[in-house]
Order: sequence, then structure tokens, then C-alpha cells
Amino acid sequence: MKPELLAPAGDLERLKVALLYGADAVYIGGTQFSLRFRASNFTLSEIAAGVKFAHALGKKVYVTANIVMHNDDLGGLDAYLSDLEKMGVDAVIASSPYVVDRAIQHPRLAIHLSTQQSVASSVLVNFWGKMGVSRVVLAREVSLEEIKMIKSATNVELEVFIHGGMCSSYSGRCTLSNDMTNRDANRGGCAHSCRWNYDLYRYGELLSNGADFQMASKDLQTIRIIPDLIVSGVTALKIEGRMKSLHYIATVVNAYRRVIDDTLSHHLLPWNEYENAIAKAENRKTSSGFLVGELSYEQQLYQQGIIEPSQDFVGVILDYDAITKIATIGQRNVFKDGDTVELFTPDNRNELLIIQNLQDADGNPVKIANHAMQILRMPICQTVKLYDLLRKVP
Amino acid sequence: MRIVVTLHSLLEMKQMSALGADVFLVNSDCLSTKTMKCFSKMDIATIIEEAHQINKLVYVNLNTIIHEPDIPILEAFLSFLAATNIDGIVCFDLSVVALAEQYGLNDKIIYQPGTMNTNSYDPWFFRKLKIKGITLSKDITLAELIAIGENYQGMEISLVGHGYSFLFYSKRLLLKSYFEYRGKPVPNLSNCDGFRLIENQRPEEMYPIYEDGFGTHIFRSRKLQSFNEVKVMRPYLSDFFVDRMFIEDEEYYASIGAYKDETNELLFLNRYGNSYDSGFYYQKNKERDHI
Repeated sequence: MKPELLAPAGDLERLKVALLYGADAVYIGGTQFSLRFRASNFTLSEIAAGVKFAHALGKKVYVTANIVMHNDDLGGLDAYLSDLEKMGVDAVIASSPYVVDRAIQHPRLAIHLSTQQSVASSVLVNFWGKMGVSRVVLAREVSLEEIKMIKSATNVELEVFIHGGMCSSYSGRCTLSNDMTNRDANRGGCAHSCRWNYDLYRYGELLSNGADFQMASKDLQTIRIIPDLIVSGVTALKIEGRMKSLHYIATVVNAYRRVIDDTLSHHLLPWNEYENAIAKAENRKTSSGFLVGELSYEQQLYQQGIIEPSQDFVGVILDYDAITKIATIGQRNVFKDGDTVELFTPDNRNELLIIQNLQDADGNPVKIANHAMQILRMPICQTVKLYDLLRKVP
Repeated sequence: MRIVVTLHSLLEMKQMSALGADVFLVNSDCLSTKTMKCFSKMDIATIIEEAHQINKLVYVNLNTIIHEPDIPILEAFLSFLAATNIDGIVCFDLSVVALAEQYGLNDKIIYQPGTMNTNSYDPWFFRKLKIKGITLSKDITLAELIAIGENYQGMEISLVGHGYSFLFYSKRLLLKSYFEYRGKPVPNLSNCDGFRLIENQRPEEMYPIYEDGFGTHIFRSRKLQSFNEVKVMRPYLSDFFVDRMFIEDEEYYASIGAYKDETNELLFLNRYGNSYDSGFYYQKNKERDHI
């Protein structure tokens, strides 16, 4: 069975990019009831536009309503779910029993159970299935072997994380942020206290060295495990990161799209082909997390966790006139006349271009594109399309 | 309202009972974590028998996340419990709820996930499952606790209202990993209650950190006490849990008596009050729209 590749989207532009670069479905947050408060959450009209775009491609949109609800949060949920159902949203992602029970009243909305519930057994998957949930997002702490065991004991759809950031704690059970910063981790305010540096003491004796005790993990990266995950029969493979950039989403989605399709067509390339593709946008250290079994210190994040992506994302194609062969480019990072850039497209054309004859929107020559989000024009012989990306070759 | 205390030894039972304990909470040696003392099945059977002889109740604490390989262990344990007169099964993971019905134990289950039980609808949801009760979330305010209590009658509601509240539970072995990362020998972590974390922006706060085979736990830097709040919440609470983790025996015993008698409460606060606070009772966390 071909699993669904599920990608995050922080706004409508990233939703379109995720779907164009190979996602089968996207998950997004509305302005209510959703974690990840900084993820540029969608208004209702933006959700409707996203659904229309996705359905035109035969793809799906899921909306998160995954906060752990307090009494103050309960109001307005029914109306919100009605709106989502009317606009054709395919599923709502819930963690609170209240959301599950209310969503059941909206039969055209499937209910997916969030990883906030930290489901790690088939017994619990089936429990939620009986409660009306059609899909369970498994805890990020389950191993590949456990996934296989769970799958063999349930007919409920399973979704597993394959890439991106991971909570160090079991999801939904952490209140570090609540205590340390007064920001509610389970209602979208997580301050990521688990990613801070700490000193470790034992009975008053300092054991750490310059506050080098950390509890954070490296991000998840599972390129080499995808074939096993496909065999396991899970329904969906999920990429984390509603706060990630357009370039990151395009790059990571496209790499996993390729590895899934290449696995199923028995034309897998050497692993480093896919891993190098991801490295063009990845800026965090990665590991395979719990999927390969028990962890060691090598999966933990000590010292500096940031690495440089191997390629800078410099611009996005916004328009192309096939007659004049002039492309309109949205600037994203500095580039200049004479630079060699790679044209990164959903169909992986990956052609090289030389930046030349760059102009601003008024037709004035531009030698260095160093104004954030500037609209530029440039002749490009190859046909390009909306949301093709330009990234600088080192 | 019953006072639930953590039992470390059969020998404590009568003393704790005299202090006002109504229920003894015991940790299993198979599916209990963040505990300084566990009991075998045989021990638990004996504790149940002896507690019932003095008209006290016994709850068993199953506070791990249940992974698939744990299911046969859980089934065996529930099968054992079904043959006892256990009074309550406190569980952290709904897998226990899902399995308990097969053993005729669903009316013994108290779902205590630490977080999650945060609104007035949750008790209604769990009543459908015919379980004994739920423990309200440790991170909600007193006003929220009261609102839930006022809204609902018909299933037992409980609170963990005393001791070091846990903030974090990871499957990762964070202490072991850290020592390995530093290339240092891993010390004996078993039952070690002496590890603390300090974050440099909060130098006055020392967060207990504890590791066992199920993972790593981090706790609030200060202990929670609920003497005033219990007076308000008493009409709604069936069980009030007095947590024991990291607390010396003498202080722990004093705390049990303090919830039964106001004179004892004053004595307790005079002696130990400086290391306690009111937790999240009056600390309304900022939610997403307000950040």
C-alpha cells in the first residue's frame, strides 16, 4: 500500500508548495484550538482556499484542533467544526475527548487523534477507534517493531512521524514550559524549555560542564527507514514543522516523495542522494529517533545544534511570461549578478542558471538583490512556473 | 474525601492509618515508574489483606506509558488484580482503561494522566467508560478545578495536591545519556533522589530529575501544598493524593496528619512551609492567543 505523505503548512503559500512538491495531504492550524501558535495560523477563508487548491489536485487538508482544552476553550467549537465540514476539510486532528465527541457530530469530518495523546499500544489505538477516531497518530516514542506489532492488531489507520522536531517528553504530558515561563505547552504556548541548557548536580555537587546538560533530541530523519515503514502498512507518513520555511517544506517533502515513489517502483537511489537533497535545507542535527529501537546519547542534542544548510534559498518564481521569457522572482535571501543558482522544481529538473540582467519591478538594473522580499525580474530561457525555487550553488 | 498516601513498607501501615490515611497507594514492580519503593504481586496481595483488616483501602499505581510489548505484562497484572480485592487502579495510560473491562476491573480505574483532564467535559467522557474516577490535571487553576467540580457529580474526582509535581516524563534515559556523552562512568541511578537541574536564568530553582528503566522525570523545584485549597475543594473530591517522591519520612508523615487536623497543619507549615508553594492554583498559564 502506498502511504500518504503528509506535510505541514504554516500558511497558504506553504500549503501550495507542500502539495506541488509531492505531499498527498497537508495539515494546517486554524486561528482557534490549534497548537503551534506562531505557525501563521489560517483564517477560515484561507482554509477554504487551501481546501479548494488541494482538492483540485486530488489531495487532502487536515486541520489541527489539538490543544488540551480548558473550560475557557470549549466555546465556539461546534460552529468552527461546522465551518470546517462545510468547506470540505477532510479531517480534524484532535487530542481532547471533547473535540473527538463534538467532531463525531460532523460525519463528513474524519477524526484523527493527535500525538498529544501519546498512543503507544494497539489496545489504545483500538480504544480510540471505538470512540470514533479513524486515524491515530502514534507517539514518537514507538519503534519500528512496535509499529508493526500495533498494525497487526488494528484496522484503525496509523500515522507516524518521519521527519522534524521531536518533543523530548511524551507529548501532552509536559508542563516544563508552564512552570518555567507561565506559557501553556499543551495550549500552543510551549517555550521549549527542554531545549535550554542546564547544570546538573548530585547531592549538591556540580557534575556538568558549563551548563552542558540538555534534554533535547536531535530532529527526526528517516530516509533509510521509509521502505520498512511502507512494508509496515502504516497509512500516513508525517513531516513535522508548521513553522518551517517554504524552502524547507519544498525540499523535505520532495525528498520523501522521491524515496517513497522510488521504493515502490524498485528504483531506489543510493541513500545519500536523498539525504543530500534534504541537507540543502536542513539546519538541525538529525537522527532516526526511537524508530530503530533504544536510544543512546548519540540521538541527544548536546552543544550547538544548528548546522548550515548546504544551499541558500534565494528566491521563488512568482510568474513567468512564456513569450518574453521574463520571470518574476520574489527575493528570499541575498544573491547577485553572476551567481550560479539551481532551479529547484517539483519535478526535480534541478537545472543551473546564471543570474544576469536582473531588474527591479520598475525595470531598473539590480546588481545585488539584497532587499528582503523584493520583487525582481530576470530573463530565463528555460520555462519556469509559479513556486519553482532558486537556491544558490556553493 | 479520602487521603491517599504512598506506602513504602507494611510496617508503616498502622502509623499512617493513625495519622489519617484512608488509602494506601502501592507501586508495582512491573509497570510503575518514578517510585522509590515497589512491591511484588505477593506483597501487594498481603498489603490488601492487611489494609482491609484495619478498614483501609489499597490502590495500585500503574503510571507508565504502555507500549505494545507491555501489553502481556499489563494483562498478567490485571489478571492478578482481578483475583484480589484491590480497591483502585491508578493509571497514567488509557491502555489500562481499555483492557480493564476484560478483567471486570473498569470500576476500579482512576485515570491519572497528570495533565489532560482539564475541563468540565472530561468527567462526562470518562463516565461513559464506567470507570471509578479521574484525577484532575496538576496544571490548572483552583478556579478551574472548582468549576469542574461544581459542574459534575456522578463519578469520583481526585487531585494530587501535595508533593513534588512532575513536569516532564521522557522515555529517554537522559542522565545515562549525559554521562555517556561526557565519557564518564554512569553512576548507580537506581533510586537516586539526589540529582537536580538548574537553569542559569533561574538559579534559585533546583529541579529534581530522576531516571529509572521507564525513562526520565523532572519535577517542580518546590513542593505543592493544598491546605487552604482542600477546604474549598473537599465537597468535590473523592480522593486527595499526598505524593511522597523525594520527601523524607518524617516530613511525609507530618503532612498526612496536617490534612486531617488544623493544629497539625500549623505545626507542619511552621516547620516545613518554606519549601512549599501553591503550584498552579493561582497561576493562570498564558494560552496561545495571549502570547
